[in-house]
Amino acid sequence: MKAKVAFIGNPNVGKTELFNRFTGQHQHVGNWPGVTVEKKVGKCVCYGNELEIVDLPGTYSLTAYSIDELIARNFIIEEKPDVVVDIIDSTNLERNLYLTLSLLEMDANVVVALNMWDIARNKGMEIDVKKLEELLGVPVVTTVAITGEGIEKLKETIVKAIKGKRRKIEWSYGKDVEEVIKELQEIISKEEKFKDYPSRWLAIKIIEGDEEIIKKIEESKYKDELLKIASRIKDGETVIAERRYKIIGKIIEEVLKKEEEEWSFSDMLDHVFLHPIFGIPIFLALMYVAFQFTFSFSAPFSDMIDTFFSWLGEIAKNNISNAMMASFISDAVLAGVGSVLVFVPPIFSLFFALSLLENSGYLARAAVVMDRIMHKIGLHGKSIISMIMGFGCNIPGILAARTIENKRDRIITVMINPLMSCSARLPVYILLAGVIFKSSAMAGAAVFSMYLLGVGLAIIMAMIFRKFLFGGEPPTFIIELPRYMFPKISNAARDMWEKGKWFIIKAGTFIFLVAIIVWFLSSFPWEATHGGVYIENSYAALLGHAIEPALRPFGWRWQAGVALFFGFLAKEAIVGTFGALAGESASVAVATWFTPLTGFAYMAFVLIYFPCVATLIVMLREIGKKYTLITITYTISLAFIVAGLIELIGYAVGIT
Amino acid sequence: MKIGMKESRIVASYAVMAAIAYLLVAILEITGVKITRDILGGLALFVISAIYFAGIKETVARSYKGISFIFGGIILSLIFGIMYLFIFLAGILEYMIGNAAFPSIRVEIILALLITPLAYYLYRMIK
Amino acid sequence: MNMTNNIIPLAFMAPGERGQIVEIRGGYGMAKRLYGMGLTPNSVIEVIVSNPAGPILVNVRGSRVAIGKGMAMKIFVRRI
Ligand SMILES: Nc1nc2c(ncn2[C@@H]2O[C@H](COP(=O)(O)OP(=O)(O)O)[C@@H](O)[C@H]2O)c(=O)[nH]1
Repeated sequence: MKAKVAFIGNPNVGKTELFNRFTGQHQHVGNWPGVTVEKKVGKCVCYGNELEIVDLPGTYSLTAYSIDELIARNFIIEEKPDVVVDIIDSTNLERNLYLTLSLLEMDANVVVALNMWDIARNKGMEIDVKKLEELLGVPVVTTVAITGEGIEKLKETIVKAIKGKRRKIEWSYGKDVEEVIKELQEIISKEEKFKDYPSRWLAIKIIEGDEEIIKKIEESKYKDELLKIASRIKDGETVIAERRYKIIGKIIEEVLKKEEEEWSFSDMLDHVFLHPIFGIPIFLALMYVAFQFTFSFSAPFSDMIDTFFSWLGEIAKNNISNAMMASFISDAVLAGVGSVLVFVPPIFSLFFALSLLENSGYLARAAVVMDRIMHKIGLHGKSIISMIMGFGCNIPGILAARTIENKRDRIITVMINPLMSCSARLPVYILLAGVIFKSSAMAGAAVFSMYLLGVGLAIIMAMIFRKFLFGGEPPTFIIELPRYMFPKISNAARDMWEKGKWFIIKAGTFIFLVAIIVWFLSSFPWEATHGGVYIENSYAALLGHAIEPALRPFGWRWQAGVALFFGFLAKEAIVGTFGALAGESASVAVATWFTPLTGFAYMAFVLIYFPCVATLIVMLREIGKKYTLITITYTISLAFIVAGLIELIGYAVGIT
Repeated sequence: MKIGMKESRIVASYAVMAAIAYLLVAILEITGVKITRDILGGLALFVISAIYFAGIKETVARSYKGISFIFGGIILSLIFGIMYLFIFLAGILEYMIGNAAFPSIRVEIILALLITPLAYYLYRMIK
Repeated sequence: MNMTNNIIPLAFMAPGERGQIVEIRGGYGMAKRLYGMGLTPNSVIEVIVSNPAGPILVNVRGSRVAIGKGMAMKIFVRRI
């Protein structure tokens, strides 16, 4: 049997974790029609049933306030999933049940998963699950998403629920409200247009003054009548919310036997980590740790890969007799792809560190600590989360901006994200800095300075955008802080793999292609180049010379131009191109193309000059054509300005 | 909330030592005397030292606020220690392959080790 | 509304203080957002961290929510 199952829950309840447990690799990420919110769908075969599982956005309630909530709600009303799994943080029933009650009112066929059961257990909380089932009228299963405990039971329960019908339980919102609800329901049942909606839910929404529903009501001939009755409850929105929590209070009184407040560790840490003086230094110190880990820890592994590929190249050169084949294998495949794979260790380390930052609960604190500073420069506290993610890859960084409520804040945050130096640009810095600077300390400083430069420019651009594109806005900042948790290494490792594998895949597919193209361009016409020896005579040189005029003022060779050309598609291609153009000893050749000054300016140019194509596509979806175009324009012009300034200042103080 | 007189004294004196130790190493790293110069790393240690210092007074006054600072300091000490430990291990790997000399142990690792008894004591105390 | 001494904006509460929300004077959207996160009139909140330099951290209905100063000026609380 086939069935449609929806997963829903507050943010941070372990929904993603549970979704992964259910669907494993069978996931598909798309978009909700018409909007830019990610839609994750997965498949799972349980007890002979094929379940299509849809991961709804994490929400606190089902009002029409945010796009996320609207999506979740419309999905449940319109698509009528067979089962809605409501995932709850067991340690925080009160807040989580708010959503549960809204779901039940919508007549959804709910199964409740009491997740984080391990934490509740350790805290000594005693929750009467049987009683909760009875009060809610739906099955309740306890789960621990991270270990898999209770997952089988949950699957079983879901399958059973597909056929089953839940007991309907109505809680009273108090006499005054109930009277109004009843009168509204009577009228609603008369109207054909409302046939698809649960009448009680619709009545409550009318009282709440829900915008979307009011719009629907206005199409009805009963509109005046309905609105008049509903207006008997003053400030219905507040009344309903308050009474709903009252109902929850009663439920909790019955099911929660023993509660022990165990926030002490978290609260104690927050006294320090959110401290007015220490908060920011601690933030910087932790960033330092993340970057130190990324670069220093990964270096030996990169060396190993490097050694391995040079060794392979040697073998290929010595053992393949056909000159064209030998050149193809060693110059295109090994040099091109190998030069990119060397950067797997730092990129994986970076994602590992970012995952630890996020899963420990610190990232949300970073938003709090940085809120004030971020406001000064025209951004939002939560922008910092987007920016930090951007160091890994700009795409998740841009997606992270969605949690920012205010549209203008969100757009600015997205627009500056390409200036966050993503991991794909890292290879360029490491390669260039390594060959143009004598001491490794200098090279390290040069790489680090790229990150600072990116952040600095982002700040300047944010201020400019705030001033010229958008007016000021009253600040609104609200964020839930999850409990600090000791991050699970295995989780971080999985995260690292999930997010980092695209790099390997890209190296194997796209970079491979670019490397072949570049090799072809640089070794052909085969006769003229003598099999890639006289690159000056090749097609690549032709292309490079066409670009060269724009780059000549900077003192960059045509090879640098070809690399930039392919870098438009993806910045990893720059190093891949260097590799393919220079052959297996890329670093030696590259050293002759740049002086320290022109190389450093080139690094800055690569940082700024263009968001990669994938980023642009996401950006287009998130902020629209106009702002994407502005972003393209400003990044290209800024790249020329900054690289030019670096060289001018360099010459002025006598560096070459 | 109050904590025991004896406990608070033990924690506070340990924290004083930690604060001084971190301050000294921070100065050495920033100035580059005796150990390799690492300005940013030194500044980070300076922050840790300051957090320990900030907690001492209120710890003596037996307030949980003071303990919070010591607790925060410990967490940071451990994070730094573990990070440098990982880098050290990677360095050993590189040495075994023959690419580099045997790595030297960063002081931060030793400092973190010295902090663990305090961490354990505090953990038991709060639990 | 009666502005007795006891009713103050959340932003002015000190760490460790507890209070009951009396009124939320924000726009429509702001109230909705707050309700879902557990901040409704009559809910009891406890200030965990509050300092001049940023958002205020409160315990409300068992979760920790950080609220910007601007928003916290519009949430009125009776001290208890
Ligand atoms: N102890 C414990 N941690 C969990 C459990 N489920 C999820 N987590 C952790 O809680 C955090 C948030 O989980 P995530 O799936 O990202 O939450 P989402 O925002 O609801 O998708 C992650 O660090 C998880 O590892 C659980 O059952 N027990």
